[in-house]
Parts: sequence; structure tokens; C-alpha cells
Amino acid sequence: MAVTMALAVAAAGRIWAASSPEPTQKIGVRVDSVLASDTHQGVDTQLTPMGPRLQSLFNYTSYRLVSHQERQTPMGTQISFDLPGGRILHVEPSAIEGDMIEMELVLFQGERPVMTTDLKLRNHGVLIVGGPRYEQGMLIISIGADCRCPHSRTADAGTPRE
Amino acid sequence: MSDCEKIAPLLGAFQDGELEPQEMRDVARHLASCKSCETELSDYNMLGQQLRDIITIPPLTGFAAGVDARLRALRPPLRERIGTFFESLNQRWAAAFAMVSMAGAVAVITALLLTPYLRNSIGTGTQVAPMAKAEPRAAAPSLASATTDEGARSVVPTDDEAQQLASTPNLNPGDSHAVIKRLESQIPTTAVWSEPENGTTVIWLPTDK
Repeated sequence: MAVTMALAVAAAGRIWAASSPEPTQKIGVRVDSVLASDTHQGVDTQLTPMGPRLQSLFNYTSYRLVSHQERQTPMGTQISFDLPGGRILHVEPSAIEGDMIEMELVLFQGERPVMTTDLKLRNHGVLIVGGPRYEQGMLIISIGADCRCPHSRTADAGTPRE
Repeated sequence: MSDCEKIAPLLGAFQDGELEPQEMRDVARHLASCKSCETELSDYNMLGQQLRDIITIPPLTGFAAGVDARLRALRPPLRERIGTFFESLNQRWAAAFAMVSMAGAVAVITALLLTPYLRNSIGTGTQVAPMAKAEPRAAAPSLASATTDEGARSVVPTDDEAQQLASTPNLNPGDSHAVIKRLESQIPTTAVWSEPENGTTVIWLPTDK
């Protein structure tokens, strides 16, 4: 019985160690700001990978990349992105569970937080935050996260990369 | 009936200490004042001593070992031995089964406590139902009306009074690449939906500015 318990504890310890993030784990965060409008200008060539997805999600006739930002942040450290229209996006990854990256997002309009969300985002996955008015259209913010997760399914063919 | 006639039948039992306490006291009081009964009691004592002297006590050396050897030599019947064997076997198996079961339970509980399964259920709440399949082509202008159509699209209207969404555990799209655990918004018509075809979750915040 003692041997069985020891084996169980050892196995559980291995699982725990494998599922826990390393203290120095860094998360890459990608934030693309796209202006969607009905100006019949088509899809920006810089949006080649993301354009079809946006067209499948929305019915606008024009998509233009306004800004692309890609930065890394250590786990548990907040990172800020300046967005068009005086908006600010705070991203704070907090944990990795399997191939899911847990994080908190806060979208500010100036100094006023307009949205706060806690979510898990699959490694290399994308969350779309859209709707804010910008110029003559809508602002679509694509938020992606990447990590070298121990259990990440990087070969997932169904996960498009932006 | 004199006192001696009443005491005489009790003298033998008195000598052996077999009388009741009250009778022992009565006989002892009578013997202190009656010489003939005391003499008779002395005779009883002498007779008992002589009887003990003529008894030959057999030697008991090795008696216990001999009894043990005889008992070991007496084999019980085959049927009884088989029954005894299975009974002891049952007890051993029951003990072994109980120990193995206990070890298994401890192992499972330990594994659950130290693995992400329990941490998931404790830390992030219960697993939520997948969202309804969203329309393949969701047009942004139609989102306002979609906030009332919860069957066709998982939509979360915000609380106008608090201007803030409470915890929204039903925002977890099963096929999506994102699982939303909590969403608070200042926008009353905030909507959330997922597109299983490309695994995208959308949070829609229609603002005027």
C-alpha cells in the first residue's frame, strides 16, 4: 500500500509539474487593429491571413489594418497596447492550463474601462473584440496569444495564425 | 435441640470455609465456648490431614508438553480443515482487497487533488454548456436585434442599471479557441458569440464614439 501511495504521489507530482507554468514563462501577445467599413475598398493586403476570417465574421466591404503590435510579457505581468481612438488595452496573462492561456483583458476608452474580461485563450488562438466606432467605420481588435506551452498543440491544423 | 446438635452438622463445612458468613460467625462463637465441638473440629482437621497424606500426587513434569503433542497429533477431519482453510483465505483476501481499495482511493484522491482537473473545477467554476451555433455570417449591424435572440446566437446583454455585466459563466463556446470566464462591460448592448467554423470568439461592444 505504501508503494502504491508513493507511486500515486509521484505520478501526480509529475502531472502537476508538467501543468504548472515555469516562473519565467513569457507570453507573446499580438494585437491587430482593423478598421471595418462599407467603403468598398476590399481587404487590405496586409490582412492576407486574417482577411478571410474577418469577411466570414462580418459583412463590411472594406477592412484596413490600422496597427499591428506584437510584444512579449512574463506570466503575471500586465502589458498595455495603445489602440486607435485613444483606447488602451491591458493584457495580463496569469496561467497556462494545457494549451490554454489564461488572461485578463481590460479595454479602456481614455481613462474609463469599458470592458473587463477573464478568459482562456488557446495557444495561437484569437479573440475578436469589435464594435467601437472609429472614423467612418468600426474598429475590430484581434487579440492573439502565443506561448511555448508544454502541452500546446502547435500542430493543430485547425488553428489559423494571423 | 441443643446448640451442639445444631452446630455439629456444620463443622465439616466450617473447616472447609464453605458456610455462609452468618453461619461461620455462629459456629465460631459456639466453638469458643464448647469444648466438645472444638474437639470434634480437631478430629475433622486430623482426618483431613491424614487423607491428604495418603494421596499420591503423580509427577507433572512434561505434562503440558505432552498435552500439546497429543493435541497436535489429533488432526481434524478433512472437511473441517478445508473449511478452516477457506475461512482463513477469505479473511486474507478480504483484508488484501480492503487494503488495495484503500490504496486505490488514496491514489485517485491524490491525483485529483494535484492535477488540473480539480484545480479547474475549483478555480474556474463548473464546466459550462457550449454556446449555440452562431450564424455563419453575422452582420455587425444586426447585432442590436440579436441581443434578444438568444436561441440563435449566444448573446449577453448587460445590466442597464448596474452598467456592468455580472459573472457570465455561460460564455464558454465549446468549439472556440477562447473560453470566457467573466465579462464586465459598460456597454449595455454587449454581445458575445463564437464561430465554430473558424474557432473564433467575438466580443461585440457597439459604441457611439
